[in-house]
Amino acid sequence: MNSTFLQNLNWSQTDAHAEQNPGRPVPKVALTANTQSRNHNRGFAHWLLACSLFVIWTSLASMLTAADPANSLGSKSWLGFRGDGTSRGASAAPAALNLGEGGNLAWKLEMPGRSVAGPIVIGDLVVTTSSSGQDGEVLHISGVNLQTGKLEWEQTFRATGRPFCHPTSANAAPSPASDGQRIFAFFSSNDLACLSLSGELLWYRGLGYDYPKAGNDVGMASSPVVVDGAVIVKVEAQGDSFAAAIDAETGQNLWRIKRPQMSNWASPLVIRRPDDRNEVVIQSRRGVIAVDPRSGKTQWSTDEGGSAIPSPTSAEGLLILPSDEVIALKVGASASAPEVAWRNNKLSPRNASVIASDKRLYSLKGSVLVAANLQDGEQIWQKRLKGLGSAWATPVLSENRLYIFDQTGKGLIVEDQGEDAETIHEIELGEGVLGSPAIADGRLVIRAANTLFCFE
Amino acid sequence: MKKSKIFCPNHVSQLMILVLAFGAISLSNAHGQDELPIEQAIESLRNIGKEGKGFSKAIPAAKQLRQTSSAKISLLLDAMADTNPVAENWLRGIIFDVARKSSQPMAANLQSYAMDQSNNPTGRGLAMELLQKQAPQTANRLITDCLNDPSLPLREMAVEQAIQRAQQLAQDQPQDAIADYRVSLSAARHPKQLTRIIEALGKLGEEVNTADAFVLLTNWQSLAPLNNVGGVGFNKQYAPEKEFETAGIIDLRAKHTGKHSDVNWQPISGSLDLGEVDLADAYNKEKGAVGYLFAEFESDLDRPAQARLGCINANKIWINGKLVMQNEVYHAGSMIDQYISDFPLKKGTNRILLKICQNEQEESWAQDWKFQFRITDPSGKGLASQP
Repeated sequence: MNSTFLQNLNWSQTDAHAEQNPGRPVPKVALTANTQSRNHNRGFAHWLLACSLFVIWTSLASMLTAADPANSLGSKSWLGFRGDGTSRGASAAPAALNLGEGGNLAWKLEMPGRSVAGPIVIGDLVVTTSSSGQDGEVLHISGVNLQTGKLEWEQTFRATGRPFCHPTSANAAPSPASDGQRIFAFFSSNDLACLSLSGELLWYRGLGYDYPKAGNDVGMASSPVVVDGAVIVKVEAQGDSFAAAIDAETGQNLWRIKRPQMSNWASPLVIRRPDDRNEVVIQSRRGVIAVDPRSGKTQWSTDEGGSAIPSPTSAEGLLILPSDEVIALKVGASASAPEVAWRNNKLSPRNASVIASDKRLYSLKGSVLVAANLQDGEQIWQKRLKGLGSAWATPVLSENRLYIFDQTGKGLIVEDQGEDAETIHEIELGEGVLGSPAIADGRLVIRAANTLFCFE
Repeated sequence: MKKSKIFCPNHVSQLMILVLAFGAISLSNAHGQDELPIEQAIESLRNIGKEGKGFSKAIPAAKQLRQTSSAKISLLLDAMADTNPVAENWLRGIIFDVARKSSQPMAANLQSYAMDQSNNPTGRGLAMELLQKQAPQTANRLITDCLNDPSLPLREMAVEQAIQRAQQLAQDQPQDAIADYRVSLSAARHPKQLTRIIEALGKLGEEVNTADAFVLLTNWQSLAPLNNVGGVGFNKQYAPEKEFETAGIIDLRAKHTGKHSDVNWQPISGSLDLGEVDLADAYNKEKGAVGYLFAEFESDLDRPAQARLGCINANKIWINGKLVMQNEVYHAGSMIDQYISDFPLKKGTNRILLKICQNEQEESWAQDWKFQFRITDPSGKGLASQP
């Protein structure tokens, strides 16, 4: 107990809730008992009351923290594919990546299998998935200390769905996701494991077992998102094609909706309306829908957009949809469909998703990086990235630096210098990087095929 | 000043005592009420079904089982027998939790469990997996003797070890390497391991035919092309499959209405090396087409078996008049044993009908119209038709 706690004893639940959830309608229940207690100069009663309130307060604080524990992690979190969906780090990543002696490699760790999934960071815990075995049927989830690189725990499962994939991919293709309390590790075989932050199994779903025609043998890659207590997965294939929400607590289906029976590897994206209502954007080559996370009901849809590989991006009130062109939709306050703000057919990305800062967006078209104005889509510069091979990993952004890796493990740091860009650093990791890196606590965490790297 | 009835110290203290007592009772109940006998908790995990069925009981049971003493790990390994793959993974996760938290040495228990062939094959495989982490040298020594083990996971580990041993010998002692590879070839069941062994032997000058090593079925009668424009053919019951589903036979002399003209059954063979039956080659790269394939397979006894198909096209398989497999997937990857279905092989003549559908995709990678098929025992050992 500290003085701040005592001063705050007369906070109401309403106040606390408002701080945790700014702008959200708040419950009217208030804790006024301690105010009344000032009228009673009785030490014992006050002591008991303080104890009692302490218990209640800590419980409430714990409940409120549990409601959105991810918020408390701040810059020490990167909770899913592309972090918050923009690929932008909340803290400054290192300006150079040097492997040699005196370099800034904090640590590297050999992993138990291959991966093309990005890592996530939850406080001081890095979580990464791998697959091994003859067909990639052995599924690994590893928890690694962000500061030391020490393996904290590892869980291993067997694929219950189809583990097959193209040789460039892996069963460990979707990036894991977290709500700050739990880890949701998803695989190409449509296995979904829920673990505690200590690596304990909380529940396990075999979506390939539940829906045996789900998936394809080129490999699936759509990463899950977690929102409003639901884990949203998108399994679009020629057989059982669906999107579903799994209750994060119970592992049960909240809803499951049919999707077009065609392959699609793009990940769902959570967008938050100005009135704080969350929607999940799901794209296929036939268009885009936005659904309510808890009910699965379609809130709006459009025939626009709909790439098979790059995922949608959200930034500064805009929803960026990749397809043959890039389309920006303005996300308004109402439940109506967002309106087209601009479109530009010169920005269409090849494999990686569009990256957004608060003012600009970046699109990787093969080895050409293009920057455009976020608000009108006008191109600002384009740069051919010398030496960059085939890139699948979505680059990440820290301040004005983009970290770009290709499938051979060559990495570039490209600095946006306003009217132009320059490659300010190059690195060879020695093994391919196909998963999008993570930025947390001033560090860059990179998952290469068989090794996890952390630069500080 | 009037005393507050609400905040009278006595009342407050009584209230606090009540609150604390209630809390204590609740906590006690939280542990005591939900505690199940270990067998019952395990059963809750084994009863997990599809789409989250049984999770409400399994989640608290898992929490309880996580605290199980590692001395009782054999109970958890035993529970992996004859359950579904999702329940297996719940048990696997709990076993890893228990092993990770254990302060007691587990190697002796794990060794004893893994090497006892009366234990269930999956549990034995996991016991060896854990032993490999805790006592790798012991595990590797034991695995060497598992080349013909009835547990497929153990056999796979042993084959992997033998392949690596042969790889190390290949440069300086090629004859020893060849001998090791030959032993591995007869022990291997996993298609990827078989393929690697065949390739390694080839590099050492020992040609091994894939079709022979896998016992692929290469002699068929084919009927094609029938119409599949717009994908209509996959679910259309053309005369041969209707005849087969109704009577379990195929009249190879019958003429049928094809996509362009009448079509007849005619012999077709798989390639000599890979055993691939190439319909695109035989039927002039026809697109939007259905092909039927028919073969007979003689068995000298009734036995459980598996139909194993590698095919990049949409497909259906019937055996003895019954549909055993269907996959409406076009051009999304292919490999030997891509699709596997159990079926009862009967003594005498077994009749097999395949339907292989080509779509109209124009991309260069979407032109294949072919398949590889074999019949195996449940372990994956290829079975040959008896003369």
